[in-house]
Amino acid sequence: MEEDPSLAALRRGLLEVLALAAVENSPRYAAEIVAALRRTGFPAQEGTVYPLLNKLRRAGYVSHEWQESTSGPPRKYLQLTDKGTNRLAEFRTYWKELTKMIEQVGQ
Amino acid sequence: MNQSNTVMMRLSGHQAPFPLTENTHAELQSYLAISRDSLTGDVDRDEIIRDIEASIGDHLAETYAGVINGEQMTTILSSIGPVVSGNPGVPALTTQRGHLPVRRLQEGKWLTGVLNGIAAARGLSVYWVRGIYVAISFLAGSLLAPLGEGYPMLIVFGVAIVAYLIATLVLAPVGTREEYILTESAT
Repeated sequence: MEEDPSLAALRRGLLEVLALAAVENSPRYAAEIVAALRRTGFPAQEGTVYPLLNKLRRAGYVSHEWQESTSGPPRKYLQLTDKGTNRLAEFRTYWKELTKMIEQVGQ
Repeated sequence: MNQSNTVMMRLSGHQAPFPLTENTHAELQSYLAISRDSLTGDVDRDEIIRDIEASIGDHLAETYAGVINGEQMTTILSSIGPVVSGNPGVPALTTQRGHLPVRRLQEGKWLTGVLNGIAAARGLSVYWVRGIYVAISFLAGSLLAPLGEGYPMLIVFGVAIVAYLIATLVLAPVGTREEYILTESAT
């Protein structure tokens, strides 16, 4: 797939929302979130995602919990807070508005 | 084929240190230093760096055994990518200090982003740049004071303002710090 810079810029704007959606259904640690993003075709990199996850935590959209792991160091599992759930819903509503905008503007 | 000595490096979150070649160790230290710079002013800076370190350790442990060489480290660091602060308005430094062309940076600007852009291009705190700009204006004005009654100060400030306006016309704007680093970084 060729990388059109405008399309890439559009997609980059979604990162915050995708990160929230990635922990919508079950708690995940940072590397899992990056992997989930990549699986859906978003070229996520830890260098961008990790600072973003901290920003989301500071904003109160996600919270974290340390869990021991048998196969390595303890991991920070992130999950959505109520504020984060609302934020995600807000975004989905806005996304629908944007879609309508694209459809209606040509009429 | 070991031309260099092995350095044992501890990474956050991992008990056992990792064996690296000297060059690999230097490469990793450099990456971490640049990453710390990018996060200047970010309250979570230390935590993010610890997490990145731990992630590097995870990748190393999962993928390679034995002494890590330059190519392996570069592969991992490329995959992780440059650390980009999530914080707008933070006086973050650039990936290559002093090597970026000056643009008018809009994110975190006060007026038109001239001093903000100069600070970002040179890897300096924007507060320093602003302070020094004003301080030099005062200094120049007071040094020239014996020449007239308050006029030198006015002239100096006039020059400072005109210089700022000219810079505003001449320099191209760029929206966010992330966009600036991504589009202007040489590597």
